Amino acid sequence: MPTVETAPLLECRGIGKQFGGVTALSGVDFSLHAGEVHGVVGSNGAGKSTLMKILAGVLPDHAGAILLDGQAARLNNPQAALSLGFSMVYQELSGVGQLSVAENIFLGRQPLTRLRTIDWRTMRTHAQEHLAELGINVDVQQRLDRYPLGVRQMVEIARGVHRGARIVILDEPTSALSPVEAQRLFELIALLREKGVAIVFISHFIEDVLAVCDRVTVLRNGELVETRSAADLDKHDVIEKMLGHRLKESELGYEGRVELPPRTTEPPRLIARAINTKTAHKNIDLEVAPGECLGLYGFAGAGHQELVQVLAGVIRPTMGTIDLDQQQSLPLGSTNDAVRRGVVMVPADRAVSLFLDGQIYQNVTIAHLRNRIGRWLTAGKECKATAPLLRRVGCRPPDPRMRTGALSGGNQQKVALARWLMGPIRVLLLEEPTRGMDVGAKEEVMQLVAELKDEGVAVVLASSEPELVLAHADRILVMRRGEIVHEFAGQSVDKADLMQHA
Amino acid sequence: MRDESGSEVGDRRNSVSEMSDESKNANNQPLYRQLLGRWEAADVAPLISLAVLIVFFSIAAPGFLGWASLSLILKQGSILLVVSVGLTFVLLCAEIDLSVGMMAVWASSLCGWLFHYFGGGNADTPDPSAAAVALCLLAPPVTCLLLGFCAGALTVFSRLPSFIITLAMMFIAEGMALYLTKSKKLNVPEVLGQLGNQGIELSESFKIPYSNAILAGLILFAGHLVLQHTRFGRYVYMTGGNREAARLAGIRTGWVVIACLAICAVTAGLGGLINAGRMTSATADQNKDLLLSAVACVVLGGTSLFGGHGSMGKTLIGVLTYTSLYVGLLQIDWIDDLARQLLTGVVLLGALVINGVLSRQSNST
Repeated sequence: MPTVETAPLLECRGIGKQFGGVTALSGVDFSLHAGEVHGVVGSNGAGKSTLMKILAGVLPDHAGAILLDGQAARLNNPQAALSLGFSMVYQELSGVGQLSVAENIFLGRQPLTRLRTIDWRTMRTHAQEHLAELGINVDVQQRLDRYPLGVRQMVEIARGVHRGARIVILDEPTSALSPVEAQRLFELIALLREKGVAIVFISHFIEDVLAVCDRVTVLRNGELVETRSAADLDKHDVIEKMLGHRLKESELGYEGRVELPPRTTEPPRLIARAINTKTAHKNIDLEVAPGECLGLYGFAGAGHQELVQVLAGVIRPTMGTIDLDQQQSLPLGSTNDAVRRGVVMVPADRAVSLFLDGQIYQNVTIAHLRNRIGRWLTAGKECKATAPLLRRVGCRPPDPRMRTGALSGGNQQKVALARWLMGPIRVLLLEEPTRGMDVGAKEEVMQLVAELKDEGVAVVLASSEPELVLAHADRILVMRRGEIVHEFAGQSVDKADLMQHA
Repeated sequence: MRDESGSEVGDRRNSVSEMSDESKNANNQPLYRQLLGRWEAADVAPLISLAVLIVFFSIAAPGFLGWASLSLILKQGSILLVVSVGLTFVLLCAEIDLSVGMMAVWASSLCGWLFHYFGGGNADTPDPSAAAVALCLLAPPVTCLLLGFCAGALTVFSRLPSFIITLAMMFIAEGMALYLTKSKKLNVPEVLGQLGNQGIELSESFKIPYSNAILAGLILFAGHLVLQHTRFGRYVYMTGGNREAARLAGIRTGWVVIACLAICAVTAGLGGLINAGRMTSATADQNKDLLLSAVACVVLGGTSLFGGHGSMGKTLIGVLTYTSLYVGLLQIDWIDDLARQLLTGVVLLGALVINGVLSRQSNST
């Protein structure tokens, strides 16, 4: 635990950054001590990514001063930041999957023999030793992409430390990790802290931040709200500071127990039987009724997200049947058939579901051009059809002609939902629909889903966030390694119950 | 996380530029930005290249601005334009068709062969029947359609890049053409000759001038309407812009790819027929550089090789630029004939690089 007396390793004073006249950051002070884990939290748009990009040398043109060991440092480009000891670990990792773990550790700095060829033996042994020192036990000769995400992330951190990083910046490190993997990451962080490495931990997961950090900096609208010791904060405080107002109890997500409603007596709308896929799934049976929200919960990689894709026709199962309204059977592996019958999916990744370079109206009308626009497309007709939907989903700004990629993540997801609102929906499939969104946008999106459910849409919600599933599902299936291992229906359940079965 | 913050930045940039567009605020934007208004630099760059070329040639070659070179540009450009229209569809859905040149050769060869054996193209029966001429004109595009369909279906089915499939199709089309013509020069129906040269004769006294340019213009306009105002056109943009997203929206992207390759093969065939008409004969060595010229035209106009960006208007500008360059260089008499190819390459390279840099800037700032 650093004390106030020690001089900080890194000190940022009055950091500001404008993008074309709009202030992204202004007057932010930030300090980091050697051996400190410093959390940075804030809603989307609060400026945490901008701050981290400045530290990574990506945005050299900023206001304010950065002092490293008390000396002014110029972070003019990523190379300069690297050589000054900053190491950035992005959410989507930048390691080279096709190379071995050892090659990744030494990427760009391969040891050479006297003949100027690569010294494989030294590379191997050094990589092995370095990783073992950090408690990462992997075969360094294996290709990196054979390891799960959690391991790849740790290798990435180890690479930064190996090349002499004193400040490691982790961007949303736990969002795709299972609790076990997250625990291992926290152990690695603790080890690095003992070695005197300073760590910046950016995350939406406030529990994780509070569990691992010494101090927490809260940003809001580009300004510093407060930097405080994590020991003096709890989740409520942090969310309150992030949002600038006190939350209603209901907005917090479900910490405690939830009473699931009794099983619905309606005949099921969608029935899947004996679904098997190449990747994981073994004889999955499930059904979902109109006006019901079926939660699929599991840790990352449990197969619940892929199961939703099977239902939407994105992945073709090797075996199984999917029936709609107990009579029509849905052709497998055809999104076209699924969409035409109103079985629609909203995936986690907006880059997968939206044409980000296109205008908003193009993304909204694309699935229902035949029914809603007709033979002859004009931008005017399409905008007219799109505008009320954008208002309904609360897209900001509700301008149909704006470039879709210019919207924030939450608003992009609203556009993805608006697309399906244009036509009849029978089954709405959600795959981590709120990943990477701030609390407010999350609430708005899920509110819409709840409205659709009340209108009689059958909803399937697959997520690795227990709070999300608990808050919105009427019935919960827990998945583990491609199998359904438990069902919660008509009973009381809490987070611990879910995680215990997963 | 990273992409989110990127869009967050983009969001702000966009809202700022919108505000200033609307309020026409003269203070915080440079002059060229105000003049451009909603246009991005990348959209205008091809037009600027075209203007620069025209200005340059009108100074360097005094005869360039005359009717003669315009007429030459229209005749030369019409073949390229027809082929480029189809190629635009293919590039927009992020595929490539390497067979356009040879597809054109195949179409003209088949036309010549049919005319020779059924249409009285040989000296014995000098006056062919209308039905025979129709066969000579219709059979080539239909066979091209089938070949393009096959190329598309195989691309989708095998999941190989269209680069490879159409490369094979290129050899197949060339091989068939060589087999059919036995490398001989074949006559083509007279109407093609009129189309390609003096204009189609409606009566003794009236000819439609520039009928090939008019035909090319009609094809271009049809292509424009299809791209901008039909569902299929929208599906083409979506498939090229983000194929996975298109699939998730229920679009059968495989069929879109097949259709684009089929359209491209047909326009390539039509281009081959028009060219054969211009030469008043079909030989297997026509259209040798048609493929690369057409790709250069489409890309020069600003249509992306990676799909999703482009339009028929851009293709028109690209074709005009390319043809002006070609015609203009021919008219500067102090340039050595043997240096023209080199100069064409250098100017093309310059224009493409400038367009590319501008489009990247307007995407990233």
